[in-house]
Amino acid sequence: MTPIPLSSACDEQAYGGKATQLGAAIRAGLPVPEGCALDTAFVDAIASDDPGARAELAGICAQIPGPVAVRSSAIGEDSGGASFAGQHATVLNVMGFEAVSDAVMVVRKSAWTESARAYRDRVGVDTDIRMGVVIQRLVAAEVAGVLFTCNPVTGQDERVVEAVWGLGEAVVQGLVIPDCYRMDRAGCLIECRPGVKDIRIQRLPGGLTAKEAVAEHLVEHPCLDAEKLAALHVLVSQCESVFGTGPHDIEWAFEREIPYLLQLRPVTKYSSA
Amino acid sequence: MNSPTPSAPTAFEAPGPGSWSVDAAHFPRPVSHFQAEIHPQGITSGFLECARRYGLLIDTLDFRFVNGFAYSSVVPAAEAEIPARFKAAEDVFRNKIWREDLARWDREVKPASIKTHQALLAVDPATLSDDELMTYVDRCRDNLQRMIHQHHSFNLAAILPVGDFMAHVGAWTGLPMGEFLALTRGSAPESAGSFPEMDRLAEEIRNSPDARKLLESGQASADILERLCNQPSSLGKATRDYLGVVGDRLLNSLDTGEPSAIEVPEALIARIRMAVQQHEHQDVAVTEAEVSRLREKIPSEHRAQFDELLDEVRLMSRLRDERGFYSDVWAGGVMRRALLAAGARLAAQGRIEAAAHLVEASYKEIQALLSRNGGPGAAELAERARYRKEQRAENAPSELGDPASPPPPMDGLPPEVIRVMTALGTAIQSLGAEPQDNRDTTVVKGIGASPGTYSGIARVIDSTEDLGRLEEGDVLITAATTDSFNIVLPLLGAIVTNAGGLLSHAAIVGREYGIPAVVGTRNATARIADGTPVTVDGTTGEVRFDAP
Repeated sequence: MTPIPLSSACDEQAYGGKATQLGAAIRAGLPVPEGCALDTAFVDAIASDDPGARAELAGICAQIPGPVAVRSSAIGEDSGGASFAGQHATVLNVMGFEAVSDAVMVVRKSAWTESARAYRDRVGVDTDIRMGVVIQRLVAAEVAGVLFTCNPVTGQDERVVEAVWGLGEAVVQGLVIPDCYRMDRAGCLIECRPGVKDIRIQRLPGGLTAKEAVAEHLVEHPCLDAEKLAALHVLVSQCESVFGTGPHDIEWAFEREIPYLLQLRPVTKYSSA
Repeated sequence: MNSPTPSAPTAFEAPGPGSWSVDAAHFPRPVSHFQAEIHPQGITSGFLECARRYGLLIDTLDFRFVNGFAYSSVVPAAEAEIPARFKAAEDVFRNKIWREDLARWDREVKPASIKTHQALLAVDPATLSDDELMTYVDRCRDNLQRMIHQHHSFNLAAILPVGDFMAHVGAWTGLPMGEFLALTRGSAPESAGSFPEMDRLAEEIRNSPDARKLLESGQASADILERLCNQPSSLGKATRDYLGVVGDRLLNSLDTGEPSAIEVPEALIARIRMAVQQHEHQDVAVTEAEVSRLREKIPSEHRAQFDELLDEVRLMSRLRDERGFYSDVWAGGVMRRALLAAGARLAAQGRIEAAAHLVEASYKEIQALLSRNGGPGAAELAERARYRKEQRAENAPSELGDPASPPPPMDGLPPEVIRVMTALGTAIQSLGAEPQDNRDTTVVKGIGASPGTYSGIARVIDSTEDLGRLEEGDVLITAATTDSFNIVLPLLGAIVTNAGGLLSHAAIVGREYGIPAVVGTRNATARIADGTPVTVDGTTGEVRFDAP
């Protein structure tokens, strides 16, 4: 029962799928925001108000300056069979020990929502789920989104990127029509379809996030230029050299023009249902 | 509960002979009575002026409002005028005549317009007597009419170079135009909302930690603006200067019936925030690398012409937005300010319900109301306001009158004429109206996000509380699928959303569950009525209405 730096997370049974995946990415030199991994026993201890665990978490919070993202890392999540996309909570822009501790509880509890249970029933995953947690420096994204290394609809071998202004939650939550870019394996643009990004998710100064109107002239303006697309091509090529050709589902963000890898999981197979 | 979408008025008659198509791009909602009276004249006369100079085979767009919705019909040039048009077209590309227009715009037209608007804004309408106020309304209206004409007299200069560029690139490469158009980025600072007053304000805020804190605070946007304005330092002046230029422009419309920027402080604050951040993080100019990467895609024998055409586009692109900003977008805001002042007086006397309702009156009705000599009642104007608020052009017929005939073949025409007309057609198609298939009334188009076809009953769901209405096998029609929808997903036959993309959680889970999904339709919840039988094709991204 010990939190460890994200870069040391190897044991999936203790720290969960997301933590070990990100740990492996850091060890391979991929640009993952620094952070730490909490194992399931530690998360349970926080939930039961264990004083030792709380003191330890307070120490961790003191070490990560600035706002953090608190993400789920359940055992069995992000596996090849089921994506658990959006089933478990992520709390963004969390500041200070009390808020982090609350966020850990929110994430842990999200395994037990009616919705998450319904999902596990449907995909036939063990219903007794244990939750690890990842705490990472929050990337203050100007542009962010998701990249698939195959076309999720046609199955074609190409990169599909969806991008929005602000934090990438607006893509995963389907809040706006994101820009859609398709590139071939060599990184050449096949299609650029600007979306309608009238809302962005923005950090609030005191913590957490809010939806905000996007200035009118940017709503339909493409948010990735050739340079950013090239940077994403490099990022995805690095991911493939570390994790194989996948296909992968990658969440990314640009902060001050620098690309970050926020999450990487396998693209799930189509259901035959 | 889900409220049914109001249906459009049933009586739509063609406003004249010929075929008419709706202009939902510029007028997505019905326009105010006030605007409807004066808009068509300026478009028609302004367009005609440039049609002659640019050698078009058409005279103008006849523009009319039917039940408040904008319809236009192309008026071909008279037979007798054709030789003169052929002659004019010869000069267009040879002399790059749009450059003359731009020079005239910068030298005379734009400065004169700014002066006129500012002179009108120097008057505080609240201080005028009733008679003086009516005279002031007249002056603002005359100005607006001239400015509508002015806007459209620069149409060709603004769009011909970009249309010509796109037509050539399209013919050379067949590639989608988005990234080529992005090459013009940075050359139109006004489109990016950037101009001296904006830059100065952004600079002031960057240099003031307090102002930055204020801007990022969760306070109401109107309060933030007010506090910035009241700063005694140069920051206060920069804010007031900025508002002086943008505050009294119509925010996002050409209709005096829609709000000015100052009425929507959230939009102004969002714009200011963006300007403050943009400078720090983004270099908006196009890099050489970007240009050369796209240039590589052009066959080598055409690259010299590609460079030449691109230069013209970059030179001219600012005119596309400036011609509106400094003409009727600003004049419309000045007009609205006058009408709101007059409306406030009438509202205070209880003769209309809200100051803004005065734009719902025609000019004659406004004269009658202001001179206390009859005019429409408060309830009548409120009803007109309600109608405009609820109706959308997407519910109006896309065509009226005769069926549209294809444009006449261009074989045998002089090459310059073909080039002018092709450039114009390309520009209108890609910059103006929505693609034609979006107007098809039997199909709602979006992005196919989870393959498969499914037919079932549409359930339009507004909120998660409404989820209880879903029955097994329904087609969920909703604005966006938050994660709370997961619980009902197994029930569903198909999913259709206004927002969202291929990689949203809802799309991913839809694919895992094998439920066909169409996302990013923009307006499915408005176009599909609750209870309608529909067929969803998650591969093509189409939702079709089935016979009940």
